[in-house]
Amino acid sequence: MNNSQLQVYFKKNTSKSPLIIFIHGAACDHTLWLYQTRYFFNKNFSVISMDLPGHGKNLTKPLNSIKGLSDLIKKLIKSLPNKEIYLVGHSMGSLICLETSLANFKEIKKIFLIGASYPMQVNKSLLLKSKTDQDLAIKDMINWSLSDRIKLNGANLIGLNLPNLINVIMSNSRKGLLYKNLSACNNFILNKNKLEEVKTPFTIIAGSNDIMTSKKNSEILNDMLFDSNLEIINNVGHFHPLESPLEVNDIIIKNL
Amino acid sequence: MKKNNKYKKFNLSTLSIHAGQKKDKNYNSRAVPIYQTTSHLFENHDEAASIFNLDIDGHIYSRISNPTVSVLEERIAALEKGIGAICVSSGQAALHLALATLLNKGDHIISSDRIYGGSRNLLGLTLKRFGINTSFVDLRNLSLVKKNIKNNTKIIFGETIGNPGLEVLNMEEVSKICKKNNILFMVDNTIATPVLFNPIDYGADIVLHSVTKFMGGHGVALGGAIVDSGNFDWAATKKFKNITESYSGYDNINYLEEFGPAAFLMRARSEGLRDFGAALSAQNAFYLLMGLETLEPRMMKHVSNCEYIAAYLSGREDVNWVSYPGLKSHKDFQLASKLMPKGAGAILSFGIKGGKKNAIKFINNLKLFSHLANIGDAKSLVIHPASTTHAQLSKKELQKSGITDDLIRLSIGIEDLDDLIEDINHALEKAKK
Repeated sequence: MNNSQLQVYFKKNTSKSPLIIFIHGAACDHTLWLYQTRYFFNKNFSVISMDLPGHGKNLTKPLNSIKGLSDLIKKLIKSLPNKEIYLVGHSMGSLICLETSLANFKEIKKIFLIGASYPMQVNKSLLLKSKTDQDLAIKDMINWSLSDRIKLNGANLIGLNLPNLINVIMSNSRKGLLYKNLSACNNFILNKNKLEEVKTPFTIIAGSNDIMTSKKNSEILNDMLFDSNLEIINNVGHFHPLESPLEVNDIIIKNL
Repeated sequence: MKKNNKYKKFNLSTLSIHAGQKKDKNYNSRAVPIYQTTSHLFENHDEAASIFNLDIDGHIYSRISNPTVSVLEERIAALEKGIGAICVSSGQAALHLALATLLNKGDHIISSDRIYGGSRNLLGLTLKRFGINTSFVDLRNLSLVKKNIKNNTKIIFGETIGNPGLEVLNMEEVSKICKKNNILFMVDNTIATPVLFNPIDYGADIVLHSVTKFMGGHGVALGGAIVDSGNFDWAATKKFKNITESYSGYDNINYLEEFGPAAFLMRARSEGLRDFGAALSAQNAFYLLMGLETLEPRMMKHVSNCEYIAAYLSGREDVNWVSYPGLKSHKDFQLASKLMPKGAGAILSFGIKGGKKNAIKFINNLKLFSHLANIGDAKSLVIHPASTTHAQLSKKELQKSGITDDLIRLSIGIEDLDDLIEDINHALEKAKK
């Protein structure tokens, strides 16, 4: 599916099937959702995942702001005939979802924010490192995002090594992309007046061991939103969709 | 070229003991439990359908995956810095599964002509019957490698340390050729092990192991492993339609679109293991895990013993030549020193004066060395390749592979060095008589 600046991967069920749109985070791409897209498609959802500009196989110019990225999602939603849409965003993708929520699309029935916080202030040394040495910054992010348990004993993914898998996904990023992404997160300001008018329900999914977007910050965000509930997955860091795919899928199903 | 892997908080010795083993939630077993079962219960039909349909991860039947085997897979993936691994019943099964997953009739491989005899047979004869052809070339000769590349060349294959010739693969240069020509670079790292060398750091796309050898180290269990770096750009090259195009086996699944960097491993498991059935048993996986726990200290002892014995043999008048990449006289000494600073393995070959006749006398007079067709045991091993492991090759092929009649292969174990030297000395003296 072509959407000019978005590289969209569309798994279409029937035209009446509810649609889930998955939006990845900084320096990731659609493969972040490899344990979600096929699962929900075979649960009779239509599913869209994507590579945002400059991510994965999307060679278009990266954008500098959450608002700019949200505009692409809004354009995508407007182009779709679906009447029942769910947004799922991870980390930076959760901010894109928050900004998109301000448009109050009646088609969006629920928004899932995974690894979310507002504001999403980025550690200064990480931000600087992402500018000077993207590869090292990615490794730092993985190091901070995954618990020692996962780094040493592995995730519950048969035969796979999660730190190395995430490293491969993130290392596909164009040079300079991570800095743009992290800056976009750092600089994002949500229009709180508009947010008060948002009636779309939210579910926030947090990891108990997440130090990138902490459980505490997810709780603060949960309190900010008009209609929101918080689900916490124990022993999970920042890469919830890959660290704990079954729990993430179950929480989404439960909260639809 | 060597990549920075600073995010890895844990080092090799720690990973070789702990990687892949999750806490046993039922009984807090400290050792890896042996899941001696053919099949696994489903919670409900919904879960069963989802696992069968590759929607979610889960064990179905131990031919495809098993929790004990998974620990071994994840441990080897961690040691080799890959995104994942699949373990199978032998090293040969690993090579076959990797190739059968990727290739189709009409495809072409360039292989080092200095490889294990069984691998050579698979590539040169067996796969040929299925329409997959291999050109065997000396991978040291880079212009010859380039000359042999055809439009249908999909893979370049070599051993990081060749068996039995002990040639060291010029990883960086061959990798450059592969990258330039969109060819997948597959290497067998059995002799070096990840203790001495990580091929993924130097551009290998897929790494194979006969885990039976040094990784297990005890000679009680067969096993093989395929490790995927996750770095090969399947989409850009479009050379591997089994990965990039729809597959009717799972309702037109496109593995690359569904699983991204894990596409090859997912296809190898869900098709190859299911169809060919070269599964590793849980019991053997357990034995191999036990071996891996001591991999680093064992390799260091293997290497120190081997370095000394290589030097000792070099100084004997009844020895024509000694081939060990850790010796300055070896043509790959510089390369080995650069790629494998901790040591160039624990296999050496030497030519005994008096040719085949004296080679056999030498072997028959060894007391400590075991005469058998294996390498990488804690015990020291010996064999005469020309009449055993490589006996199926023609004289011309033997010559091309550097396997002469006087060649004796030693796999140096971790026994006391003085005892090994005494045994070699005794057998050499007997062979002269």
